[in-house]
Amino acid sequence: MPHLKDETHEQQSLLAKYTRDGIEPEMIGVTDGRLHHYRRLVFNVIRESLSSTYPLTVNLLTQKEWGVLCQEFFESHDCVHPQVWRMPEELIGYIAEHRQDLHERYPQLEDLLQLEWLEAEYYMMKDRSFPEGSTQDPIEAPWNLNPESEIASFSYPVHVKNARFISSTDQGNYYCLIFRQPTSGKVKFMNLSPFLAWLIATLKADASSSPRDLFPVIAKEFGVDDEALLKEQLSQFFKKLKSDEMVR
Amino acid sequence: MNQHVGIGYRKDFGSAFLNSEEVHPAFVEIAPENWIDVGGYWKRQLQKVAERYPIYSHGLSLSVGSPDPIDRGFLKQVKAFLEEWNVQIYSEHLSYSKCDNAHLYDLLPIPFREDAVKHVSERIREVQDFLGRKLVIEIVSYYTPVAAEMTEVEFINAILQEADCELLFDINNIYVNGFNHGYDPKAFIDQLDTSRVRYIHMAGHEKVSDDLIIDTHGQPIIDPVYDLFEHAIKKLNGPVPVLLERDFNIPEMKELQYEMDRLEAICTQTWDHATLER
Repeated sequence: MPHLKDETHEQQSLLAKYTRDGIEPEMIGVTDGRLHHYRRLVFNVIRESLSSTYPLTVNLLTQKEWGVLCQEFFESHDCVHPQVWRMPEELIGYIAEHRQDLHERYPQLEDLLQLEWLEAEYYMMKDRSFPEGSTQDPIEAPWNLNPESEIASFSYPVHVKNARFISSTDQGNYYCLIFRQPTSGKVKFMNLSPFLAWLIATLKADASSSPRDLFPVIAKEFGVDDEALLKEQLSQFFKKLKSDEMVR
Repeated sequence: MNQHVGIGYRKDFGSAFLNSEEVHPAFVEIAPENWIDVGGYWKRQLQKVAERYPIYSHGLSLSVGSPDPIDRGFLKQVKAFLEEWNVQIYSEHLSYSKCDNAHLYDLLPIPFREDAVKHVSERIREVQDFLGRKLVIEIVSYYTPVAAEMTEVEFINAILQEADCELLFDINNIYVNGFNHGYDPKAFIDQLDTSRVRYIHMAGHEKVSDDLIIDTHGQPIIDPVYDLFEHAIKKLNGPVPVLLERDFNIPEMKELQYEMDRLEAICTQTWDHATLER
């Protein structure tokens, strides 16, 4: 049988709700002029956490738009994650569901939020095992790819261009490789052509395939059948990935 | 190396803890919420720190005072975390930070009421049963009571008794509460069941008006809080670990070490050079 009386629960709910909406409630036995500190302290945590996760979005939106967004998000969205550093991810779903007007005003916003969240998530995320063995031959052998990586596809080039200067004319198909460097722990972004995005995705999906195994598909799907050129280009790309610790 | 006094670990402290002689705490404290499922550079750094210092843990989001059910999924993660880092003490706040299925990420005061005592105690027992260890509950600072029907000290003692848990003596919080609510913090300490004290926190605060102090952890400890600390530890049966908290306005490491040294000197004098149980 529950011990907590309805009235006690209600008092707790009123205080919690007040920290979210800022509308001072009628409460029992509170000291005059003190409640607002809870509202201020709680909301500061939320705003600071959102702002530090999405600095580029803060820069894209007007100060007023960002302030209103933070306020509305916290007031009407029930934050579900017990780890405050993960809470900002919930803003993405909130905007998609409730603030389509922002997406219309800033078509690059969805991609920008995704990029910024991926950076935060990759920076913090749990380690994934990256076997030591190095790739023997960048053409004939499978690539030992960094498992702490993924390819994000964007409609706007938020990973290569200041979001404030992106317009509807920039709309297209963009691919961005995101990975965490094992040595430094830094998160890196690499702009990829559709072909290279496909190549990495395919090699990741089938760890037993080498680039050589994919040559017939490359010729068919991408119309590239100059084997010497392909080997040269892929070797160069492999070197770049290796120097960035995206492959071993 | 301090024997009794540790410090709250921050990611940017890692290098100083490993490479500098300026700081030498007895242990470090981390929040599970900041480290569960975290990897990469910061985790490697923490692993090195953990090889050198014992790890204590102070939770933020368990919300033992919440009207909501305990989040069993999160508790399971906490348990795994405590095992992974060989955490000797796990403490949490006697407050709530989640209500009606929404996290608030800060500490709200529980109404000092008999029904809340029973409710919170049952939840603490649930946590203790699940974790297989005593929970150490911190007296939090608060800026207004809510719907109180008993005194704060009655509320805390009743929970300690009913939940059969341990107590985190946050001396700064007791000082802040005494100032904000007009009571004598020494008399408050004298009424507490000090036999259950397992851990002590010390910190600075910010006076924002003539009648209000906010518990910011952003300033050095002030002399009256040192005095209260001395009064408090004389009430204990023996040594317990003491933590210096500093979360904002971070000074040079040597300034933090100075505060730790000052606390250590009081501990040593009072506890007659007793060594902290490791």
